[in-house]
Amino acid sequence: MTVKTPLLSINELSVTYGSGTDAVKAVRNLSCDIGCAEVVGLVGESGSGKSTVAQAILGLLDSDNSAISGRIEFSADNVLAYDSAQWRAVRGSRIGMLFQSPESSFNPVTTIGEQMLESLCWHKALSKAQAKTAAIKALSDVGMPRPDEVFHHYAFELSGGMCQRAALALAMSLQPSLLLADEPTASLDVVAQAELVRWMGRVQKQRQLAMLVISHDLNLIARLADRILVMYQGEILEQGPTRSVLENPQHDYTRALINAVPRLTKYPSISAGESLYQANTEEVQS
Amino acid sequence: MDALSTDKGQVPEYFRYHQKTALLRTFLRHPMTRVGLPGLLIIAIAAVLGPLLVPYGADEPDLAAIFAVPSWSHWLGTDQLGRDLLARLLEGAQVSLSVAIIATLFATVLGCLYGFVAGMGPVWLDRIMMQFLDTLLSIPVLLLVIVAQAFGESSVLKVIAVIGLASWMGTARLMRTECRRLMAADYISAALVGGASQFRLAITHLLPNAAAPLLVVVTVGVGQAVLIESTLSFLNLGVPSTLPSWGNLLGNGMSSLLGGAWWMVLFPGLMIVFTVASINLVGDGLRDIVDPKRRAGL
Amino acid sequence: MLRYLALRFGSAIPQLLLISLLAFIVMKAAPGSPVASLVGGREFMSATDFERVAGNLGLNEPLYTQYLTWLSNVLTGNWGYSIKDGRAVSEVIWVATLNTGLLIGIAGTGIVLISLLMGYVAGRWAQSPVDYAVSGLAHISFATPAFWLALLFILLFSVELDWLPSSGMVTLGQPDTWHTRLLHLVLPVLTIILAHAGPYIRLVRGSVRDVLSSDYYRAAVARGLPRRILLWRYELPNALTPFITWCGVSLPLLVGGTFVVEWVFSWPGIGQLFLKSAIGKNYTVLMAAVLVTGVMVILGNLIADLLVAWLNPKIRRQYGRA
Repeated sequence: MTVKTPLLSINELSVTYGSGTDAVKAVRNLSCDIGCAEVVGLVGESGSGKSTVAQAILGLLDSDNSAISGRIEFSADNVLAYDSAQWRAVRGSRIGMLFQSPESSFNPVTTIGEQMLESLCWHKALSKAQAKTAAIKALSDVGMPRPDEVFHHYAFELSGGMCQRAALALAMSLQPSLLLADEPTASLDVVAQAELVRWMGRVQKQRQLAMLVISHDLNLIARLADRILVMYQGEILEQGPTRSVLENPQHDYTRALINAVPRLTKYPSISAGESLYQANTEEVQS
Repeated sequence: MDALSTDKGQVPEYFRYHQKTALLRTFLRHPMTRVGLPGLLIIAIAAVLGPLLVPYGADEPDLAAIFAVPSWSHWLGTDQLGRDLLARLLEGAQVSLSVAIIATLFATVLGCLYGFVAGMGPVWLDRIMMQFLDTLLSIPVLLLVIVAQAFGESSVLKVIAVIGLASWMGTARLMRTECRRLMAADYISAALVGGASQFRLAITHLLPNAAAPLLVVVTVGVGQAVLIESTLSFLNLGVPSTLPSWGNLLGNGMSSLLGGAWWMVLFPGLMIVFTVASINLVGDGLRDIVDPKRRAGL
Repeated sequence: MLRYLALRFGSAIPQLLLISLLAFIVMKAAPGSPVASLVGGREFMSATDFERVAGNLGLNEPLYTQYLTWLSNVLTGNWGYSIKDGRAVSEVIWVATLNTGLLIGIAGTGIVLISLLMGYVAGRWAQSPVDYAVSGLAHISFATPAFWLALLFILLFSVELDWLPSSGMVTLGQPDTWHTRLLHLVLPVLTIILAHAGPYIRLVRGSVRDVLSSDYYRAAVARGLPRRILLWRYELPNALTPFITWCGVSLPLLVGGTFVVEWVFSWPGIGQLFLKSAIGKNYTVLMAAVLVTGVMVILGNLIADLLVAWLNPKIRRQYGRA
């Protein structure tokens, strides 16, 4: 994968929650770059500080309760120095985000369409009619059957998988250049997971989108990511191209993660990482 | 993976909170409790020891000092018969608090029984009992209490009974919910499948589970009972007017209001507010411990 | 929506029946025979005459027949006469209901506005000095008996400062202008608001905090939406539903508190009527007051429920758009 000037550059990022004796270091000295159209996977068990990274990138951490040090640069701009107006201009329209629980990430009292309209009208300065066309196109771009009906639905009327795709459509309709996906498949069933991953891959290729995929699910990461970062207790243990990390893990923890993935294989002689990599790349190519 | 997480030897924060001593410490450290608990202690000590410390009796008239303004000899002033207000307030604390506490205990027993029957009984019975409960809740409590008090003579026992009868509904609902939740829990289903008696299971598991939320309801209930008692007594529908309950003192103060005897109105009311606010604060503190998801303030 | 309306009305019927039963019991349990109160004492008539009058009044019928007769009388507006002054109860009650409605209407609006504003501020800037001030006040308000506050206000504003009238709706012996009526409203309304706003403020504060910590709110912030949209489309609509529910649920409390305030300020409303008849054992009026109060509260609950249903898309969808 070609890595030009990085789109996002994180340098020595540390995040501490709380203060005094109760302080917990959620992220320690994390550094990584994400290039244009590059997909980076951040793997680790729950509680390892993965989500904190995503929230720090979008400035969503509660400043009363957490302390950030280090640098986060987006398009060579230090975002940690942003004021609220600058944040509003970046959030959504340049960096999009997918959350873990799709249904609860939609406002329960308005329809999905209305929520797409309000974002489109605000960020893109479109008229209502233009925004509606754009929203329905965005819905059909993620393979939503009957997008003009979904437009009038509430989140609770859709299945989890449909909801997450609607959330993907909502994020993509604002045409960001970077998408942060925080455990996007964690609350979906396997069929919906596969469907979502397929559309995420397709959208990424079409739009030349950069992505940071955060997950504990190695299957998801293996399918989407060009590069993997393995995180444990706030630190990066190892990183490298997907293939080499999966097939030739350097660290015990990475090995444990890979071996923990359940798989259906007839050939026990092939190492766990290899089969994981092959199974998933084949599927995407087919 | 588990091996790895214990390797570095960090126990997550929330595990520590499950230990009993830590729970008590969190409770005592809670900002609400820090204000409320000392307040409650002061009230309790004042109610028990207070009458012994004041040099006047609660019913000791002093015709030389009628309507005396607060001074060094009568700290909170005197009433129309020259009785010392401080002495009456402290005596009243015993009356008001014991009425409130006994009435709340009565309501709790009543509510637990009702909730238990509804929660453990068949679904149709549950429906009827809950519908009845909703209906009762839609009638102003004060209305019921006043109607009840309009019949017959007033006595302390009757006030206790009436307040108890008017305030068991919250406990009943809580108990019923706990029963239903318990019966739906996996470990209970497993025990039932294993042939355990439903009734015995409920008795042995219900109390440990329901005790904590029950404590919250009872605490807050005492505060509400103090308010109801004072209202009733104020309206001359409560404790017999010979007893110096806080409500009676206020009712007495109202009749001297236009004479400008402000101390007769101000101090009994302050006592009520101070007591009820302390009780509510402790209740809030308890609730936050019992149910950490609902944070302070509600 | 119509179907939901019908359903909800259906569940109000047992409530109304229970209230009517309660009122009927008040009537029947009243000491002294209605016959005696009609002619002024039992000693004025022979035993046979007494029986005849009792029979004419339907007092020898079984209880349920008496209840049904009474119920049909109540439903047709025949509410009997006050024992005290012989006026028709329905007329007395109607005037009082209007007066109470005025008081609760104004005070209720005040409570809603104040608690939405203060609760929002406290919840939005939780743990700030403003929040501590507001929450502290809410706590004190929750613990304050309304009648005591009323007494304090009378002491301060009527006795000491002589700014505002302390009793009634109009000043006796003075022309009845809107100006004097307004002045008479100030203290009762202020008392009701200050003594009742506490729980409402705490509820709004809590639900605003719930919204602010919700996933959908975080997602909206992550989408870069401006404050205006966040406030009007996310925070308020979502915090409003529990608030309206609470308004319905707490109505009995508010009505109860208003009754005592009416008593202290001699406001000629249903509460004062109720307490006067309870203390003076005027059972026909007491019965009517129970009935009217119960119906008012049940109707208020119904309205709150319908509003919540109308705001909740789940119920709206389930019962169609009609």
